Amino acid sequence: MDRTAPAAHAEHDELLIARLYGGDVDDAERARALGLMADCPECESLFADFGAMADATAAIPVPPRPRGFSLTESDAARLRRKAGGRLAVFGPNLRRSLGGSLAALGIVGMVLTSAVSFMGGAAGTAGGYASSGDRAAALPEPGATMAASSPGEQSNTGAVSLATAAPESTSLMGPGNVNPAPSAGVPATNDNAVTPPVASPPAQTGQLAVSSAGNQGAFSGNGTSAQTKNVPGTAGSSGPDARLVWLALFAALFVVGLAVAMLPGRRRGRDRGARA
Amino acid sequence: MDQRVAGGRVVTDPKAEEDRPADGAGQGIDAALVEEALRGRLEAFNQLVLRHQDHLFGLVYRLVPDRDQAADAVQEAFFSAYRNLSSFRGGSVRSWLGRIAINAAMDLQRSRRRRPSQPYPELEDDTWQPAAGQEVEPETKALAAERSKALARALADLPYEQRNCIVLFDVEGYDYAEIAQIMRVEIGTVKSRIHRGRLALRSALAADRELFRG
Repeated sequence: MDRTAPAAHAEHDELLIARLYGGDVDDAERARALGLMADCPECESLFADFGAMADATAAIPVPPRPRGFSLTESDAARLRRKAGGRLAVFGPNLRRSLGGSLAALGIVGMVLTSAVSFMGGAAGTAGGYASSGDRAAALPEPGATMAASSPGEQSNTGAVSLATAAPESTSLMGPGNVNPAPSAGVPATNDNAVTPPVASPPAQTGQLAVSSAGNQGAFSGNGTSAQTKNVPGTAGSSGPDARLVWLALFAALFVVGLAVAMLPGRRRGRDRGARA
Repeated sequence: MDQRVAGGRVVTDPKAEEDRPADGAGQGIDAALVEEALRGRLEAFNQLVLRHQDHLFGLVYRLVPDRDQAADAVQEAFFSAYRNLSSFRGGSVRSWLGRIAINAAMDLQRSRRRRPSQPYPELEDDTWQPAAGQEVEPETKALAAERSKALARALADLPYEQRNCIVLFDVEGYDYAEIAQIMRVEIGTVKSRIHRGRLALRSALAADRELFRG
């Protein structure tokens, strides 16, 4: 038989010979591999070497084990405790995922709540010092009782008095015409309200007395109409207290998530295969 | 069928081997011991340990080229088996324990990726030599020892994924699908690791090739 020179062996598919040895070839590949072995002594010896190596691997002597592996009573007690603790909670992977998700949700919630709170606070502050142009959208309803702001009624603490010339105003309040009752939904008295440094001129007919209730809300008027509008951030369901509650909830979620994720767990990897 | 043919060699299927009538009694004993252990008798579990510890140590030692590390893996495997005894669903205890031990060895390999400074140090220790029959010629014995040393070194140089696959296939007789299941990889990955591992092993043994011939 005219066999291929060894130099040509470099071009032969050794992996194919390995696959033939492992029985991992189809009929066509088997024929090709057998052809290579028939023509190339290197391929033939490669196949023979695989067999010799496999036999030698199985024959590698094993030294005597250094110790026995019997379990002591204390080992058994410790392992029983671990097994009991393991059954009480989720598997570590699920637990980590769940805890991580909760913590992430908590962080996102806290950030969003803080952002909303910050933006609301800024809006409220801006509302408290709103200019006359901005005030147009935040007027008391027509006929609504307004807190008076006049030199004689400075007891209405927290009122922001802004004077705007509005001779045609229909909701004028004269001196002494005080009604401290709050308008709907808005407290008339707020101890934390801000009084601008500008001295309020004596109230007189034709002058609109504007009262701000709430440290984040503002009442203003243009003298022609009056309506009430809740400025973002004013007290209510989304007020500071509600935001604090949400913030606390998200913080708790974050802490709980961290705790769940970091609970001590068993070394699950070493139990793989044990659950037959 | 108890055997399969790979590369012209007859490979004994370890699971089929356990199904032989001669081993039926052994399986029965194992099953009884598992039941006793499940009732809380530690002595019964330790009987299982005594019955299988040599086999498991031999298996793990081929995967982890260090005797102490192999012992640690086997110990961890028995711990794991004890913890999960209630999850044993019947069948061969030997096979079940073997899978646990293989996983324990792989966990050890992953955690200690660093190759030992001297793999299979016992093979270099002249005070310990494997038992040999009286009929073995001294020259043959010396040749076998040299071959084992060379092969052990070459095996230790392989990536452990390739080494594990080769040992499980060639020594333990698992088929590709079983190895894929044990190692939790695709069957094609197992085949690739075995074939390429063989080629790498042969290249590593190029200088010692004569030891394997004749």
